[in-house]
Amino acid sequence: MNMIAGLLYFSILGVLFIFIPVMIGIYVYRDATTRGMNATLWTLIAVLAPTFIGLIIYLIVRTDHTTFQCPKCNQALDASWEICPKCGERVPEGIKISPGIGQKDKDLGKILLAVILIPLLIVILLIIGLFNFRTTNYGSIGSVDGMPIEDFADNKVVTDWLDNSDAQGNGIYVLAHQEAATADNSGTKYSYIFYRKGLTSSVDVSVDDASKGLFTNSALQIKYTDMGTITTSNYHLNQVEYFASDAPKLAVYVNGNKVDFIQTTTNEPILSDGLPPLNDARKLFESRIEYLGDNSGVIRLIDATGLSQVGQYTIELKTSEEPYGLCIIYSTNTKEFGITDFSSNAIELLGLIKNLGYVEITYGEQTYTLTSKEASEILDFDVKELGMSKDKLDEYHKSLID
Amino acid sequence: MKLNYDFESYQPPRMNEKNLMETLHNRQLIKRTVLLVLASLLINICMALMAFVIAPYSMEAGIACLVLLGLSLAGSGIIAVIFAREWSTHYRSKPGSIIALGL
Repeated sequence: MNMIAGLLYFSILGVLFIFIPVMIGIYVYRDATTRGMNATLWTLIAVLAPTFIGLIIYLIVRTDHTTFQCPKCNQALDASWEICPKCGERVPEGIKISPGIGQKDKDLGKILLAVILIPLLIVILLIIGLFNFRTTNYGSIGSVDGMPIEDFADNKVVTDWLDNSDAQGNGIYVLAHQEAATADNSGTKYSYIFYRKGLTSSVDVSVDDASKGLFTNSALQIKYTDMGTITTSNYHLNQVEYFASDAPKLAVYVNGNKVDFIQTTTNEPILSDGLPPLNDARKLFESRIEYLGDNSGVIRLIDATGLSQVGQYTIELKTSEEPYGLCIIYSTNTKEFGITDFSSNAIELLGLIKNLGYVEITYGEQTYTLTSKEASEILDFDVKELGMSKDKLDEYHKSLID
Repeated sequence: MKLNYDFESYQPPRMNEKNLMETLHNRQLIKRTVLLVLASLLINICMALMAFVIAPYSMEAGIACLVLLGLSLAGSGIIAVIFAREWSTHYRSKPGSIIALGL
């Protein structure tokens, strides 16, 4: 939990469940003592019973007890008594007016004011916080790709940054670029390239994000998990696009431990614009995965099919029961959703993720769904064959052009 | 002149300081009870709101708030029902029994 959030959480709990009950307890103890009631018991009831029910009961029950006290020994007296049973002092008529009651009612008035005002202020504070938190901030990961260094050979900004990073030795380097805010001010796109120099084993790379909270800025976390295998056929560079209403705070983790990194910021665009319109069969085929549970692999494949260019999206993996499903949920889109044909992208996903049963693409209330069976019927062959042979995938792409 | 009390036919109620003080105390008690119920409602709203505010930072803390809210509602409800039943059937009809119980 964030430190400020934790502090506020425990402060509010402290006020509601310690400060107010203690205040009530002190009042009840004094009042019950004056009235000759069992002060300890009533204090415990008033303090421990939830939502002031103990205090309400005490206020009702105490009406049966007088506040008359012996002027000599302070023993609580009944109005009808003439002599104090404790010290034998004759009770003067004048004291039955109960001199202390006015002061005690003032104390109770203050307590009632406090128990109304304190929670009221906390409610207002929480409503303001909740309103700000829910309405003004968001963040979403647009796409995450593992890229070979050669893919950036034509980008001078990236190659210069890589040269500088190489000169500095092993470590994690980040190149960041912030695009101008969109015309409708719906958010800003942040692009990052992460370079881990000195990588000697295969790694799994995943990215998490956290939207801006009441006490925190939005955060982007890139997590490297060493797989332990020596062969390093996977990419050293990872490019990430992030859409947010405020600049995210970056954090890099290696095997669960937060590590330092060196960040460079540039005004020049740094990411390649994705894939050619008719997807590169070789790259698509290389991106194929066995299991839907491979989160980063799924995101890489979504990008390879071109679906990441449709708009900002999040994914949900439906893997609790078969058939396994992939839901792509767009929060914004750049195309007219209703007239966009997603069938070729969905067929590619169904063919290249071996255990994927259906694809569901959603924007607002509109949803496009395609199952493996439906895709096979469209193709006239088993859609999974696309993931078995690159030639088959090539053939499919040619048929699309035709 | 239309009178709302027929002093010719009925004896007016005898009022003394004790009766007036009792009326005053009853009215005060009602006001205080209403204020305390309002305060308890605000505290319950606090807990519910806090659960939603804190949940993104710690789901456990959010759930703890909701559990606390549920328990306090259930607990105060049970106590209120038991007290109302016992107070009306026993203690109210037998003044002094509270003292006899040591309360």
